[in-house]
Amino acid sequence: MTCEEVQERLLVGADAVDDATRAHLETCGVCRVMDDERTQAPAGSGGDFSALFAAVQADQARERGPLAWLRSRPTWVRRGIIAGVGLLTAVIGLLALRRPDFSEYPTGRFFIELLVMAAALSAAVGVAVRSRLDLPSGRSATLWVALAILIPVVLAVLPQAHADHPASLLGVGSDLIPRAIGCLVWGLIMGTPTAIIAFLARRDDHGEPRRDLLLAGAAGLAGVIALEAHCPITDGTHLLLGHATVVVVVLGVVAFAGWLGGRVRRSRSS
Amino acid sequence: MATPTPLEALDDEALFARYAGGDTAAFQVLFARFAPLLTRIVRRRVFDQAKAQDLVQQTFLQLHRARKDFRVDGKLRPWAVTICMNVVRQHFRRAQRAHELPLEDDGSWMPSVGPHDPVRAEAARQLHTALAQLPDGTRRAIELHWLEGMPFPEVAEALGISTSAVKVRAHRGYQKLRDLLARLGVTGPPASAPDRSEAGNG
Repeated sequence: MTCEEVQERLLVGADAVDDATRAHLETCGVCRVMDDERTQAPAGSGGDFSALFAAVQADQARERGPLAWLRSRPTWVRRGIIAGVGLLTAVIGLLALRRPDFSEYPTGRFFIELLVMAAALSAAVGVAVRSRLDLPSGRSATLWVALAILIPVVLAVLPQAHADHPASLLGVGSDLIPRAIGCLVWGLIMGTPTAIIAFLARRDDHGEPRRDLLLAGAAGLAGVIALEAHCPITDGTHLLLGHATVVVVVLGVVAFAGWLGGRVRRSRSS
Repeated sequence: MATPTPLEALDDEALFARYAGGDTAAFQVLFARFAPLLTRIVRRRVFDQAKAQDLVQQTFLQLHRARKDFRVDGKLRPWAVTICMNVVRQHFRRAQRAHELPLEDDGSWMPSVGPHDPVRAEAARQLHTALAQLPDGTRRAIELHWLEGMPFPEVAEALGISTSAVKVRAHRGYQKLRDLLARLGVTGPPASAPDRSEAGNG
């Protein structure tokens, strides 16, 4: 008999253990220790689980309120809520705070730009929010974070959409920095609800850089989408400094917060 | 009048459906079934007993939070095992980020067999050492299939790979494990009784 056959037979149970299996076990140390390891649990893994059960019940009793409700939604619902809040900013922007040059801005380009950013936001959320506490691979996390940064940059360096509205000509020269800062702040404000809901919907109580940066990228994109719907300035430099930086700043804040949180936890535990 | 089915007679999935619906008695039965399994899985990686218990507790909390994610047509055991393994992975990632734990083995591992059998205890310790040297995915396939007795399809679901890939990993891993154990002094089948020549008779 091969070792594999013996192991498979042992797995079936006592009925399948015949003389040949027993003879193999007597001569094969490898199969014997494997069998020992299976039939005798690691030290400390058996016995009385009453204390653990009480602790688990206490955990479950604490799972009450809106936060617990949000965390316990099915994964597709949590994804929908996070992406929905992000896209809601675009809807609010379009309905209540629509850019004054809306009629001059090429309609096809406008909606393609929104669609590309909304798709990237949804994809980042889809990759980050998972059902079994697993993490996205480093490669896919890097890809989607890079796209979250690059898409607004690419939109900024495209040829100017138009220069047919007086408001679109602002934000240049001495006006560049103040307008860019204004847009950056406004974009950060509009991205904040997405960031808050995304981080509240996490099921684990600790940060995971890969996932958290993806959520930060999504929140940043929500801010850029809101700016796209609201800000009439079409100058490329303004778009780079005032719009594309929203994603970078949100990513930086989340990375810094994760680093700081790690340090605080370490200092508390030491 | 039909008598209600005792909870112990229900399968894991039916119990979980009841638990997700708010039946706390169903959770008690599920806990009794899953706590030993999850504890064994954690203890194979985390040798500090208090920390291991904490991670099993976290696993149950995650199962509770994810209870509405469980598909009624799925299998509960691989789903729960995946969450448990991810809780353990997160623990090690955090520990490594904090430079608290350079290696997964903190040296406090206790052999599974009692001190009355030092030879087998030593063999078990060597098995652990050899397992730790296997690639991560291979080791998990062997642990779940051969040590926890999970069928290949369930291991595949827990690891998120195909059943044939699990079989290949388990087979290759087992061969490598034998080599490693042989190097550590645990002998395989005797050379006078080659495996393949007896395969047809077994």
